[in-house]
Amino acid sequence: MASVVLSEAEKVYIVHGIQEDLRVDGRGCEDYRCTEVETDVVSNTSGSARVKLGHTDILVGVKAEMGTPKLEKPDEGYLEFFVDCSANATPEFEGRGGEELGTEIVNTLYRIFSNGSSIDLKSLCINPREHCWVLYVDVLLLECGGNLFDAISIAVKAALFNTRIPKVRVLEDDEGSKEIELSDDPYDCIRLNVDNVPCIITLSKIGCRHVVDATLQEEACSLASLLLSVTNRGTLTCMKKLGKGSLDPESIFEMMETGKKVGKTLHIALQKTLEKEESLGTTRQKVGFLG
Amino acid sequence: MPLDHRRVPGPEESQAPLLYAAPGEEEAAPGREAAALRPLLARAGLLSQAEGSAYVELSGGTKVLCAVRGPREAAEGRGRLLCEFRRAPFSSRGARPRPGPAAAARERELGLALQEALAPAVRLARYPRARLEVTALLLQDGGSALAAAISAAALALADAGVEMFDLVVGCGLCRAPGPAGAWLLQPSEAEERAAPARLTVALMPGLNQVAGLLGSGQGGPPESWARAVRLGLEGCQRLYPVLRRSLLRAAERRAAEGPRSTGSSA
Amino acid sequence: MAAMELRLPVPRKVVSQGLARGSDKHLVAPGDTITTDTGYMRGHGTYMGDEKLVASVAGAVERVNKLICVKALKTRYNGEVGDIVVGRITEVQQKRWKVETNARLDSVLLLSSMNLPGGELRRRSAEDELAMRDYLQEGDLISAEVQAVFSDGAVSLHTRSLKYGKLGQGVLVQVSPSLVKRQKTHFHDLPCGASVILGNNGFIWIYPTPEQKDEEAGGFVTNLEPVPLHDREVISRLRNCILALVAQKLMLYDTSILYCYEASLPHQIKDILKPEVMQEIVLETRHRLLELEG
Repeated sequence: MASVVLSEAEKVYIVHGIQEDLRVDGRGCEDYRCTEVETDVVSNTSGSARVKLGHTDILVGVKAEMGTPKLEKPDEGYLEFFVDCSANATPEFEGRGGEELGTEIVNTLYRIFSNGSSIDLKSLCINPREHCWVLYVDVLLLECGGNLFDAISIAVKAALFNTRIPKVRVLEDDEGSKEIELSDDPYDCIRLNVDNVPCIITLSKIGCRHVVDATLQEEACSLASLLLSVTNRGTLTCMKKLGKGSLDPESIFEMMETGKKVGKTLHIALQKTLEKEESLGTTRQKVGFLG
Repeated sequence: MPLDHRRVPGPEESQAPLLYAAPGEEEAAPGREAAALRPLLARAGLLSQAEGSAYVELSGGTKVLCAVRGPREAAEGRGRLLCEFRRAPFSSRGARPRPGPAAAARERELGLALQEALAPAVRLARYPRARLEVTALLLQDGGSALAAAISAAALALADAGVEMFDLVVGCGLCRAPGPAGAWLLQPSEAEERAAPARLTVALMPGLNQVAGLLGSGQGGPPESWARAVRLGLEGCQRLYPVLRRSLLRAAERRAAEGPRSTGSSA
Repeated sequence: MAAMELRLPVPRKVVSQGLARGSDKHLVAPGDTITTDTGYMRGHGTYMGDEKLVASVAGAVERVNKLICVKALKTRYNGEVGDIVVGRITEVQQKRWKVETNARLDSVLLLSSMNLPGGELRRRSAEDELAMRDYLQEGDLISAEVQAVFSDGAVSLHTRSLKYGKLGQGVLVQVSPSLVKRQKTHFHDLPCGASVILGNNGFIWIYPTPEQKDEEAGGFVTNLEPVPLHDREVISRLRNCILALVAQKLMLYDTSILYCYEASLPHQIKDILKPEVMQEIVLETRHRLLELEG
């Protein structure tokens, strides 16, 4: 991952500040940086979103395609995740440099979506054993400024909220052969229910305390962090220790409580923003990449 | 991870017969104590060519073999710990996994989890410009495979004489199905398959520090997960003496064989 | 209490636009003809083509007598002798340190061009060479003055004064070098309770004002005692103010920073970075600066 070098004294300054609940940019330990979300930013997708969290910049596109259901789950569609760490974000990603981070992010995304309740996969089935929707979720890292995982999960949720899948009908003739017909009305589409899609909260342990939404500098001071995925009702669907260090058992329990609390706030804020954008509709001028 | 191109991957369309088993045919697992641990067998130092090695078996099926190579000189400046987790193609119950990017990515995730669990324990600062390679090979998956691999890898590292702050002990858990399902320690493969949530914890028992944590699924609110973590850590503490003893036994065996290196030079 | 500010993006406005007096500046893009008059001399950022003087960078045209240069608006740092810079050690070599100063090439700090503990006029011994990493190691920050510029553009630094040397606790902000105004002094103890070093290379160091002057940055023993909360608040506020000024492309010097600091006082420190607050306080700063100029 993109890394910064700090001197000992700078690290000490950051750690002491967190001890006193005043971070270098004036935030408290449980504050997020100002975040911007916009959906429907690229048009050749079924749904897309862009999230800017401080200097972290993420673009997610969702494409819906038709495929065959997996053998173990004949009556469900499925999601596929891909992450592209472009060298735009940091020169370290050039060539194969970003591959390791990319796999880690992809695996984490599969993990947080692997439980049955995040997305109603049955609604993605067109006809059992034969056709289903496959949602390809492509994540692009445009800039890395710390706290990648949280930003990516917000962007994925926003993009899924924005996703519109065209309606199809299965026509069966007398001989039992099936034909698929795509609705020709572009507004005749299904939306996904994203209420249960979790968001990731990464808590970085710095000194004796933990912070949410760490900047690159703060990440350089942290030896271990805990990644939690939290749903809007405050249940956890994934937990994972990241980093080279170890954690005290007690601090893990504290971090889980913080994660639950922060996660709920995050979901409420995100839902409100997405609904606001939708209600404004075409009256709002799109900002896109010219902001 | 390099793919094995020489091997014929088999027909695209083959499936394991288990897929066609009538649902509900399998007998329900007999009720068991949630905190019961399966007997764990460990043996350190059984491979002759690796610097360190260990084998861990959980009664009921899981078999992991782990080898450590190094420390040897690395191209890059700082000491590095590289971990690889491999499944034998026939390790799991269902269809043989097709070699491909998806399988490789899954193995890499477990390799990374292994690395993150071991990194806090290894004193890498003592090995500048060197790398340590840890390979865990899962021979048979009978549940709690990652946990067994963590324990085996820590044993193998210790067996290789690598400087460590503490051993690392892994313990697997899963949540029994049902709305109020209890967390079970060291689940078997069948329990793991049916479980809505799974968790692996790794503990450094001497320092009482959590080295690794990886779990997902519908485990419910944080309180439920916290219960699981507590239960898992307790399990690790109970497994610790077994692993420690196997390590000491390996050392004893070595001592009985006589100091090899000095013996040959004399 | 957890705070989460999530919003829809709005187009950014730069307040200095429109008000800018930059209209009298002659701006060119690469390939633009500056003049067809052959009487002028070719300076940095230009080339001669078919009897014409053509710009090779985007920026403002500057003319000194017969010499025409184009100064790029956004560029890495070009060292000049006497500049004050803040830099980060990237490598310890034999008898010298490599320093990252936002220049095209890494700068050099020779062991012989720095003050060592125990008096200024001391011969550098072999022991000193071995102990170089004890003085400065990779990642450490220093303030220094440019001693010489080599022909390839690399910069040689010196710290032969008590005001230069290793930096202790504080916050580094990196901005474009063009936004730092050249002044008599780049070390400022601001009346709001903190000090800043405005490096000509765009590295800005904000730190608590040291109590005794003589114990200043020159030492190699860093004070790792916790900085009091009040000082931290001032430093964080200054940091955010500087970022606000940079976002709105205002020049950085002691007065502009101080005015911005004062304008920001009604807001919470963490709110300063919100786009609308940034706009508001920078606009106020601008007005006061214009009043001052009269």
